[in-house]
Amino acid sequence: MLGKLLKHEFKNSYFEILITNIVFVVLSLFVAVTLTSRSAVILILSLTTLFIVIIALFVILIYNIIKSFNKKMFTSEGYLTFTLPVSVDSLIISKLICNIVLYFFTVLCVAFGFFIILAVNIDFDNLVKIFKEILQIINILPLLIRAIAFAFQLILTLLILLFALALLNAGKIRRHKMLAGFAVFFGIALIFNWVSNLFVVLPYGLHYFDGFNIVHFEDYHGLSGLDIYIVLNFNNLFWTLLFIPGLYFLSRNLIYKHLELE
Amino acid sequence: MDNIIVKTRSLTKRYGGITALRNVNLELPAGKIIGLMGPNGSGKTTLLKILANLLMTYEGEVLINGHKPGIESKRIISYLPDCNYLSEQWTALDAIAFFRDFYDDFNEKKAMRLLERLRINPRQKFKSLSKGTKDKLQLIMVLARQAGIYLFDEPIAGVDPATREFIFELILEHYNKAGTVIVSTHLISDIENIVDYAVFLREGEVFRYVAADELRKETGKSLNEYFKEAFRC
Repeated sequence: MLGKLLKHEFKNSYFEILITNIVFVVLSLFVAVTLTSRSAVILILSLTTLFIVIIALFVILIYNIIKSFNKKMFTSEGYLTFTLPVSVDSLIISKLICNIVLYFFTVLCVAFGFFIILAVNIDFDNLVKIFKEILQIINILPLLIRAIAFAFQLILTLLILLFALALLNAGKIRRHKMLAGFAVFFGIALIFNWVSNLFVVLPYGLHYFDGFNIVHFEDYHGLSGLDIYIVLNFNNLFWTLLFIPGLYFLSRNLIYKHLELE
Repeated sequence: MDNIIVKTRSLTKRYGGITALRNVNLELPAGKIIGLMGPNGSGKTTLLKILANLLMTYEGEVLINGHKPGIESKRIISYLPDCNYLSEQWTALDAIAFFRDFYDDFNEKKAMRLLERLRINPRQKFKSLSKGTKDKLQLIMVLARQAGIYLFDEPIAGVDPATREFIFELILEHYNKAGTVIVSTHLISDIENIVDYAVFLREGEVFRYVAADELRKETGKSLNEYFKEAFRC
């Protein structure tokens, strides 16, 4: 049933995101061409438009994410969603997977757009050289940790959103619903930041005795910036992985026990 | 009594300090039409929501075809709520594709036949349909299933008398005859002649649960007359 849920989830949300991404890629091609024209006015105009489209891209993405959770689960459409012969877990997981895929699809499209701009304006040999230099500068390990941490952070963000929506609907907050939603969302994000910065968790082998300010780490132990980077991301990953099941089960519990559809 | 398909024992549902259902004990037979009758706020919708597994916390026990409300019971329940539950962006074809994927008992051909009969454009978006057409489309989706239990929550509320008659004709013509129909309403006269059993609810309690013919014989009154007398303010 998860496959069928995913199918309909994508069917319901792909269109706007696909169209905006196509617009962005086409616009990137246009910007790439205008860059060769050397006209300052056209260049500024096309770059501004490109910037606006990138913002629009992510606004539409966020709007779609909120819509996919809120509309299908907490409005009258929830009557159909929750009477389907599927578990609440399948419903939540399908929404998480679909939104993560659409998010990464958008990120890839943005990257592809910039690649087009580079490819049109720089000859192939130079382009290869640039990428080789970038690969030499980049250290794979922290990048990998960063990428993994980012994927989990995205799941965490989606779960904070789900929890905020579930709480609002279970709490029967009728007035200033949007404001209350923002307050819950940013409140939980703030709690996460406090907790992860106050109680720093380090990888095995790296010792840390003092305080909660990460700068002390370098001062007292002579660790490099790269080490701190790894440690910070490890810490973030640790807390993210701890918050994800917590928020998942809280949201699930709210839906099970307190859901009252409009 | 015939085979029992829905059984509730000491069912109580509270919303905070308000008790919506109190100690409801029912045994509903399979293959019958059951009218869930009571004034507004008597607990009809709450009972249907519990059976549809939309409300998952309550006191007491509920069994549907031997299962607690959940995935198994949802496979055999076809539920029509008293609101629009199809996506505004969908067309009838989208709704059909959705129901076909999730319900094994969904009859696509029957749905298409009904769309044609009711002259609903299968490619028109739900949001652009009139309220009456939206209601009809949702009814088609529910009736196109060969369900074991149909739950209709106030299917005729806010509808003119001619359409009410048509809705019941449609239900009677197309529901799975081996299935059970539970229809909630406070417009008793409209379902007077189609129900086999009547469950009268008052302030969350079962006031009377009786076979319709038996009640008529016993009181010499129609269900509507009995309801008016029993629930007079």
